[in-house]
Amino acid sequence: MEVSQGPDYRYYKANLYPPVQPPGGVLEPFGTVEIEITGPKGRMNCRTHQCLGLFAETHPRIKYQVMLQKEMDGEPVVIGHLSVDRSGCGVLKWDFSTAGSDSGEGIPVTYKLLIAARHDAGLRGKAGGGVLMSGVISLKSAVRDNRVVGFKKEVKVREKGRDIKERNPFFEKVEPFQPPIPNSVWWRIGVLPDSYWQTGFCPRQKSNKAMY
Amino acid sequence: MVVQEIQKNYVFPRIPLKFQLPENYPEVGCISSISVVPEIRDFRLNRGEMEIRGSYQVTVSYFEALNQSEPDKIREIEYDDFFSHLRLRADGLITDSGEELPAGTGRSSQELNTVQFERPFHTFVDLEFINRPRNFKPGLIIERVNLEAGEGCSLKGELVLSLVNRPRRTHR
Repeated sequence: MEVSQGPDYRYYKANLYPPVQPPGGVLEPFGTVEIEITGPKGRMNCRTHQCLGLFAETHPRIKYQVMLQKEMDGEPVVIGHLSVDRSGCGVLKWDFSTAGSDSGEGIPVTYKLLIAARHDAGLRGKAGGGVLMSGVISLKSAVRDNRVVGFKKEVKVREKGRDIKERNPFFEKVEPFQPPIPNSVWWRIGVLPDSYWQTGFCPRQKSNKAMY
Repeated sequence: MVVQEIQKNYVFPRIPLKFQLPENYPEVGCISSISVVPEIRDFRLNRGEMEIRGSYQVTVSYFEALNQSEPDKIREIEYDDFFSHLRLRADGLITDSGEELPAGTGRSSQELNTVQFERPFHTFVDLEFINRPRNFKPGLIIERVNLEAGEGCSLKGELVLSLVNRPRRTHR
Protein backbone atom coordinates (compact mmCIF):
# COMPACT_ATOMS: atom_id res chain seq x y z
CA MET A 1 0.00 0.00 0.00
CA GLU A 2 2.62 2.49 0.98
CA VAL A 3 6.35 2.29 0.96
CA SER A 4 8.23 4.46 3.37
CA GLN A 5 11.03 6.65 2.08
CA GLY A 6 13.75 5.43 4.34
CA PRO A 7 13.87 5.66 8.08
CA ASP A 8 13.58 9.08 9.64
CA TYR A 9 13.70 7.77 13.16
CA ARG A 10 16.83 6.64 14.93
CA TYR A 11 17.43 5.48 18.42
CA TYR A 12 20.75 5.49 20.21
CA LYS A 13 21.70 4.27 23.60
CA ALA A 14 25.09 4.66 25.19
CA ASN A 15 26.43 3.41 28.48
CA LEU A 16 28.41 5.71 30.70
CA TYR A 17 31.41 4.18 32.39
CA PRO A 18 33.62 5.42 35.19
CA PRO A 19 36.98 6.74 33.98
CA VAL A 20 39.06 4.23 35.89
CA GLN A 21 38.50 0.53 35.88
CA PRO A 22 38.35 -0.88 39.39
CA PRO A 23 41.29 -3.24 39.83
CA GLY A 24 40.16 -6.79 39.39
CA GLY A 25 36.53 -5.80 39.20
CA VAL A 26 34.02 -5.92 36.41
CA LEU A 27 33.32 -2.61 34.75
CA GLU A 28 29.70 -1.72 35.18
CA PRO A 29 27.95 1.24 33.63
CA PHE A 30 27.15 4.17 35.89
CA GLY A 31 24.42 5.52 33.69
CA THR A 32 22.81 5.51 30.30
CA VAL A 33 22.10 8.05 27.63
CA GLU A 34 19.21 7.56 25.25
CA ILE A 35 18.99 9.63 22.11
CA GLU A 36 16.00 9.68 19.81
CA ILE A 37 16.20 11.55 16.54
CA THR A 38 13.06 12.09 14.53
CA GLY A 39 13.75 13.92 11.33
CA PRO A 40 15.68 17.05 12.25
CA LYS A 41 14.63 17.04 15.88
CA GLY A 42 16.19 15.06 18.59
CA ARG A 43 15.93 14.48 22.28
CA MET A 44 18.49 13.21 24.67
CA ASN A 45 17.64 11.59 27.97
CA CYS A 46 20.51 11.16 30.35
CA ARG A 47 20.14 9.07 33.46
CA THR A 48 22.57 7.98 36.11
CA HIS A 49 22.11 4.97 38.27
CA GLN A 50 20.55 5.21 41.63
CA CYS A 51 23.23 3.29 43.48
CA LEU A 52 25.75 6.11 43.10
CA GLY A 53 24.01 8.38 45.57
CA LEU A 54 25.14 11.52 43.79
CA PHE A 55 22.47 13.62 45.39
CA ALA A 56 22.93 12.50 48.92
CA GLU A 57 22.54 15.12 51.57
CA THR A 58 26.19 14.96 52.49
CA HIS A 59 27.24 17.04 49.52
CA PRO A 60 24.20 18.95 48.34
CA ARG A 61 26.14 21.81 46.82
CA ILE A 62 27.87 19.90 44.09
CA LYS A 63 26.50 20.37 40.60
CA TYR A 64 26.87 17.74 37.96
CA GLN A 65 27.53 19.06 34.50
CA VAL A 66 26.72 17.10 31.40
CA MET A 67 29.08 17.87 28.57
CA LEU A 68 29.20 16.87 24.96
CA GLN A 69 32.48 16.74 23.13
CA LYS A 70 33.27 16.04 19.53
CA GLU A 71 36.04 13.55 19.66
CA MET A 72 38.24 15.08 17.02
CA ASP A 73 38.28 18.69 18.19
CA GLY A 74 38.09 18.41 21.88
CA GLU A 75 36.26 21.41 23.27
CA PRO A 76 33.49 20.09 25.50
CA VAL A 77 30.22 21.98 25.51
CA VAL A 78 28.13 22.08 28.63
CA ILE A 79 24.61 20.92 27.84
CA GLY A 80 23.12 21.30 31.25
CA HIS A 81 23.09 20.07 34.79
CA LEU A 82 21.72 16.90 36.22
CA SER A 83 18.64 17.23 38.33
CA VAL A 84 17.34 14.83 40.89
CA ASP A 85 14.71 12.29 40.07
CA ARG A 86 12.07 11.16 42.53
CA SER A 87 14.01 7.96 42.97
CA GLY A 88 17.35 9.67 43.50
CA CYS A 89 18.82 9.31 40.03
CA GLY A 90 20.37 12.15 38.11
CA VAL A 91 18.29 13.07 35.09
CA LEU A 92 18.78 15.44 32.20
CA LYS A 93 16.58 16.08 29.19
CA TRP A 94 18.01 17.96 26.25
CA ASP A 95 16.37 18.87 22.97
CA PHE A 96 18.55 19.47 19.98
CA SER A 97 18.32 19.68 16.24
CA THR A 98 20.36 18.10 13.52
CA ALA A 99 19.04 20.27 10.73
CA GLY A 100 21.53 21.39 8.14
CA SER A 101 24.34 19.25 9.45
CA ASP A 102 23.65 16.03 7.60
CA SER A 103 26.47 16.58 5.18
CA GLY A 104 27.67 13.25 3.97
CA GLU A 105 25.92 9.94 4.00
CA GLY A 106 27.53 7.26 6.03
CA ILE A 107 30.07 9.39 7.86
CA PRO A 108 29.21 9.11 11.53
CA VAL A 109 30.15 11.83 13.96
CA THR A 110 31.64 10.52 17.15
CA TYR A 111 30.74 12.27 20.35
CA LYS A 112 32.01 11.81 23.82
CA LEU A 113 29.62 12.45 26.65
CA LEU A 114 31.06 13.46 29.99
CA ILE A 115 29.50 13.99 33.37
CA ALA A 116 31.67 16.03 35.68
CA ALA A 117 31.22 17.34 39.18
CA ARG A 118 31.42 21.06 39.55
CA HIS A 119 31.46 22.58 42.95
CA ASP A 120 29.54 25.64 43.87
CA ALA A 121 31.26 28.90 44.53
CA GLY A 122 31.70 28.19 48.19
CA LEU A 123 33.46 24.94 47.59
CA ARG A 124 35.41 25.85 44.53
CA GLY A 125 38.49 26.85 46.38
CA LYS A 126 38.90 23.48 47.97
CA ALA A 127 38.55 21.18 45.02
CA GLY A 128 38.05 21.57 41.32
CA GLY A 129 36.02 18.95 39.58
CA GLY A 130 36.48 15.64 37.98
CA VAL A 131 34.93 13.52 35.34
CA LEU A 132 32.70 10.97 36.98
CA MET A 133 31.70 9.00 33.93
CA SER A 134 31.91 9.16 30.21
CA GLY A 135 30.57 7.42 27.16
CA VAL A 136 31.22 7.31 23.44
CA ILE A 137 28.47 7.53 20.87
CA SER A 138 28.58 7.93 17.12
CA LEU A 139 25.63 9.69 15.58
CA LYS A 140 24.75 9.92 11.94
CA SER A 141 24.85 13.68 11.84
CA ALA A 142 26.23 16.50 13.90
CA VAL A 143 24.22 17.88 16.77
CA ARG A 144 23.30 21.50 17.29
CA ASP A 145 21.91 23.10 20.37
CA ASN A 146 18.26 23.93 20.08
CA ARG A 147 17.98 26.59 22.71
CA VAL A 148 17.01 29.99 21.47
CA VAL A 149 19.78 32.52 21.68
CA GLY A 150 18.61 36.04 22.16
CA PHE A 151 19.79 39.02 20.20
CA LYS A 152 23.18 40.27 21.11
CA LYS A 153 23.07 43.63 22.75
CA GLU A 154 25.91 45.94 22.11
CA VAL A 155 27.85 46.17 25.30
CA LYS A 156 30.81 48.39 25.87
CA VAL A 157 33.77 46.24 26.71
CA ARG A 158 35.92 47.96 29.23
CA GLU A 159 39.57 47.36 28.57
CA LYS A 160 40.49 47.90 32.17
CA GLY A 161 37.86 45.51 33.43
CA ARG A 162 39.56 42.52 31.92
CA ASP A 163 41.03 39.88 34.11
CA ILE A 164 44.23 41.04 35.66
CA LYS A 165 45.87 37.72 35.13
CA GLU A 166 45.55 37.98 31.39
CA ARG A 167 47.98 40.85 31.14
CA ASN A 168 50.07 40.29 34.19
CA PRO A 169 53.54 39.14 33.17
CA PHE A 170 54.05 37.49 36.51
CA PHE A 171 51.36 34.95 35.76
CA GLU A 172 51.84 32.50 32.99
CA LYS A 173 48.97 30.63 31.45
CA VAL A 174 49.25 26.88 31.66
CA GLU A 175 47.26 24.50 29.50
CA PRO A 176 44.80 22.43 31.51
CA PHE A 177 45.60 18.82 32.06
CA GLN A 178 43.52 15.97 30.76
CA PRO A 179 40.60 15.61 31.05
CA PRO A 180 39.83 19.20 30.12
CA ILE A 181 37.23 20.82 32.28
CA PRO A 182 35.58 23.91 30.88
CA ASN A 183 35.75 27.22 32.61
CA SER A 184 38.74 26.19 34.61
CA VAL A 185 41.93 28.07 34.11
CA TRP A 186 45.20 26.88 35.47
CA TRP A 187 47.80 29.35 36.45
CA ARG A 188 51.26 29.05 37.73
CA ILE A 189 53.37 31.67 39.21
CA GLY A 190 56.26 32.46 36.96
CA VAL A 191 58.44 34.46 39.25
CA LEU A 192 59.29 33.17 42.64
CA PRO A 193 61.34 34.72 45.40
CA ASP A 194 65.03 33.98 45.31
CA SER A 195 65.00 32.03 48.49
CA TYR A 196 62.63 29.54 46.93
CA TRP A 197 65.11 28.45 44.31
CA GLN A 198 68.15 28.38 46.53
CA THR A 199 67.00 25.82 49.02
CA GLY A 200 67.84 22.37 47.82
CA PHE A 201 65.09 20.93 49.88
CA CYS A 202 61.51 20.23 48.97
CA PRO A 203 59.28 19.45 51.92
CA ARG A 204 56.64 17.75 49.75
CA GLN A 205 58.96 15.06 48.53
CA LYS A 206 58.64 11.54 49.78
CA SER A 207 62.25 11.13 50.81
CA ASN A 208 63.08 14.23 52.71
CA LYS A 209 66.68 14.66 51.89
CA ALA A 210 68.57 17.85 51.74
CA MET A 211 70.55 18.06 48.53
CA TYR A 212 73.71 20.08 48.38
CA MET B 1 11.06 24.17 19.41
CA VAL B 2 10.24 21.25 21.59
CA VAL B 3 9.97 17.71 20.47
CA GLN B 4 6.38 16.65 20.71
CA GLU B 5 5.51 13.86 23.01
CA ILE B 6 4.87 10.87 20.84
CA GLN B 7 1.61 9.12 21.44
CA LYS B 8 2.08 5.40 21.45
CA ASN B 9 -0.67 3.39 19.89
CA TYR B 10 0.52 -0.07 20.51
CA VAL B 11 3.45 -1.58 22.32
CA PHE B 12 4.64 -4.81 20.80
CA PRO B 13 5.67 -7.74 22.93
CA ARG B 14 9.37 -7.90 23.50
CA ILE B 15 11.63 -9.34 20.86
CA PRO B 16 14.49 -11.46 22.15
CA LEU B 17 17.73 -10.50 20.42
CA LYS B 18 20.50 -12.98 19.73
CA PHE B 19 23.42 -11.96 17.62
CA GLN B 20 26.48 -13.91 16.70
CA LEU B 21 29.53 -11.81 16.07
CA PRO B 22 31.12 -12.31 12.67
CA GLU B 23 34.53 -13.90 12.43
CA ASN B 24 37.69 -12.01 13.31
CA TYR B 25 35.84 -9.86 15.79
CA PRO B 26 37.18 -9.77 19.34
CA GLU B 27 35.19 -10.79 22.35
CA VAL B 28 32.81 -8.28 23.88
CA GLY B 29 34.06 -6.56 26.98
CA CYS B 30 31.71 -3.71 27.67
CA ILE B 31 29.17 -2.30 25.29
CA SER B 32 29.64 1.36 24.59
CA SER B 33 26.61 2.21 22.56
CA ILE B 34 23.70 0.65 20.75
CA SER B 35 21.75 2.21 17.95
CA VAL B 36 18.52 0.87 16.54
CA VAL B 37 16.86 2.01 13.33
CA PRO B 38 13.46 0.46 12.68
CA GLU B 39 12.03 0.74 9.23
CA ILE B 40 8.62 -0.15 7.88
CA ARG B 41 8.87 -1.47 4.35
CA ASP B 42 5.16 -1.70 3.67
CA PHE B 43 1.89 -2.08 5.51
CA ARG B 44 -1.56 -3.27 4.56
CA LEU B 45 -4.95 -2.72 6.09
CA ASN B 46 -7.06 -5.80 6.26
CA ARG B 47 -10.55 -6.01 7.68
CA GLY B 48 -9.72 -6.32 11.32
CA GLU B 49 -6.02 -5.92 11.44
CA MET B 50 -3.02 -4.15 10.03
CA GLU B 51 -0.18 -6.07 8.53
CA ILE B 52 3.24 -4.54 8.90
CA ARG B 53 6.42 -5.70 7.28
CA GLY B 54 9.78 -4.16 7.86
CA SER B 55 13.13 -4.55 9.46
CA TYR B 56 15.23 -3.21 12.26
CA GLN B 57 18.89 -2.46 12.10
CA VAL B 58 20.94 -2.81 15.25
CA THR B 59 24.41 -1.29 15.45
CA VAL B 60 26.52 -2.19 18.43
CA SER B 61 29.86 -0.67 19.29
CA TYR B 62 31.86 -2.23 22.05
CA PHE B 63 35.27 -2.42 23.62
CA GLU B 64 37.30 -5.54 23.51
CA ALA B 65 37.33 -7.72 26.60
CA LEU B 66 40.43 -7.39 28.70
CA ASN B 67 42.14 -10.68 29.24
CA GLN B 68 44.79 -9.47 31.65
CA SER B 69 44.33 -10.89 35.10
CA GLU B 70 46.47 -8.34 36.88
CA PRO B 71 45.43 -4.74 37.13
CA ASP B 72 47.80 -2.12 35.85
CA LYS B 73 50.67 -1.42 38.16
CA ILE B 74 50.98 2.11 39.37
CA ARG B 75 54.11 3.59 37.97
CA GLU B 76 56.51 4.55 40.70
CA ILE B 77 58.44 7.72 40.44
CA GLU B 78 62.04 7.77 41.48
CA TYR B 79 62.03 10.45 44.05
CA ASP B 80 65.73 10.35 44.59
CA ASP B 81 66.36 11.44 41.05
CA PHE B 82 67.36 15.03 40.95
CA PHE B 83 65.90 15.60 37.50
CA SER B 84 62.53 14.19 38.35
CA HIS B 85 62.42 16.70 41.12
CA LEU B 86 63.05 19.42 38.57
CA ARG B 87 60.35 18.09 36.29
CA LEU B 88 57.84 18.16 39.04
CA ARG B 89 58.56 21.73 39.68
CA ALA B 90 58.40 22.71 36.01
CA ASP B 91 54.93 21.26 35.78
CA GLY B 92 53.85 23.58 38.49
CA LEU B 93 52.17 20.71 40.21
CA ILE B 94 53.21 19.22 43.48
CA THR B 95 51.22 16.13 44.15
CA ASP B 96 51.58 12.80 45.81
CA SER B 97 52.21 9.70 43.77
CA GLY B 98 49.51 8.38 41.50
CA GLU B 99 48.55 11.73 40.10
CA GLU B 100 48.30 10.37 36.58
CA LEU B 101 44.70 9.62 35.86
CA PRO B 102 44.02 8.25 32.42
CA ALA B 103 42.14 10.65 30.25
CA GLY B 104 38.61 9.89 29.29
CA THR B 105 37.25 6.44 29.71
CA GLY B 106 40.56 4.82 30.39
CA ARG B 107 39.74 2.66 27.46
CA SER B 108 40.54 5.39 25.01
CA SER B 109 43.57 3.50 23.82
CA GLN B 110 41.38 0.58 22.91
CA GLU B 111 39.64 0.40 19.63
CA LEU B 112 35.90 0.67 19.39
CA ASN B 113 34.52 -2.24 17.45
CA THR B 114 31.29 -1.75 15.58
CA VAL B 115 29.00 -4.48 14.31
CA GLN B 116 25.76 -4.11 12.43
CA PHE B 117 22.89 -6.55 12.30
CA GLU B 118 19.64 -6.42 10.40
CA ARG B 119 16.58 -8.50 11.08
CA PRO B 120 13.26 -8.49 9.29
CA PHE B 121 9.92 -8.61 11.03
CA HIS B 122 6.39 -9.27 9.96
CA THR B 123 3.52 -8.66 12.38
CA PHE B 124 -0.17 -8.05 12.61
CA VAL B 125 -1.79 -5.42 14.82
CA ASP B 126 -5.45 -5.42 15.78
CA LEU B 127 -7.18 -2.32 14.48
CA GLU B 128 -8.87 -1.68 17.80
CA PHE B 129 -5.58 -0.29 19.08
CA ILE B 130 -5.56 2.36 16.38
CA ASN B 131 -7.99 5.21 16.73
CA ARG B 132 -8.11 6.43 13.14
CA PRO B 133 -7.21 3.64 10.77
CA ARG B 134 -7.90 5.72 7.68
CA ASN B 135 -5.30 8.33 8.45
CA PHE B 136 -2.87 6.01 10.06
CA LYS B 137 0.69 6.00 8.77
CA PRO B 138 2.56 3.67 11.03
CA GLY B 139 5.91 4.48 12.46
CA LEU B 140 7.99 2.54 14.91
CA ILE B 141 9.81 3.85 17.92
CA ILE B 142 11.98 2.08 20.42
CA GLU B 143 10.59 1.53 23.85
CA ARG B 144 13.49 -0.35 25.37
CA VAL B 145 16.71 -1.99 24.31
CA ASN B 146 18.99 -4.13 26.38
CA LEU B 147 22.05 -5.89 25.11
CA GLU B 148 24.80 -7.63 26.94
CA ALA B 149 27.61 -9.98 26.16
CA GLY B 150 26.62 -13.59 26.00
CA GLU B 151 28.79 -16.66 26.05
CA GLY B 152 31.59 -16.69 23.58
CA CYS B 153 31.27 -14.29 20.69
CA SER B 154 27.60 -13.56 21.01
CA LEU B 155 25.29 -10.82 22.15
CA LYS B 156 21.91 -11.28 23.68
CA GLY B 157 19.22 -9.00 24.93
CA GLU B 158 15.77 -7.76 24.21
CA LEU B 159 14.06 -5.12 22.14
CA VAL B 160 10.63 -3.56 22.62
CA LEU B 161 9.11 -1.63 19.75
CA SER B 162 5.97 0.43 19.79
CA LEU B 163 3.73 1.73 17.07
CA VAL B 164 3.02 5.42 16.55
CA ASN B 165 1.11 7.45 14.02
CA ARG B 166 3.12 9.69 11.77
CA PRO B 167 0.53 11.69 9.88
CA ARG B 168 2.87 14.41 8.76
CA ARG B 169 5.97 13.46 6.94
CA THR B 170 8.86 15.79 6.33
CA HIS B 171 9.66 16.04 2.66
CA ARG B 172 13.25 16.38 1.77
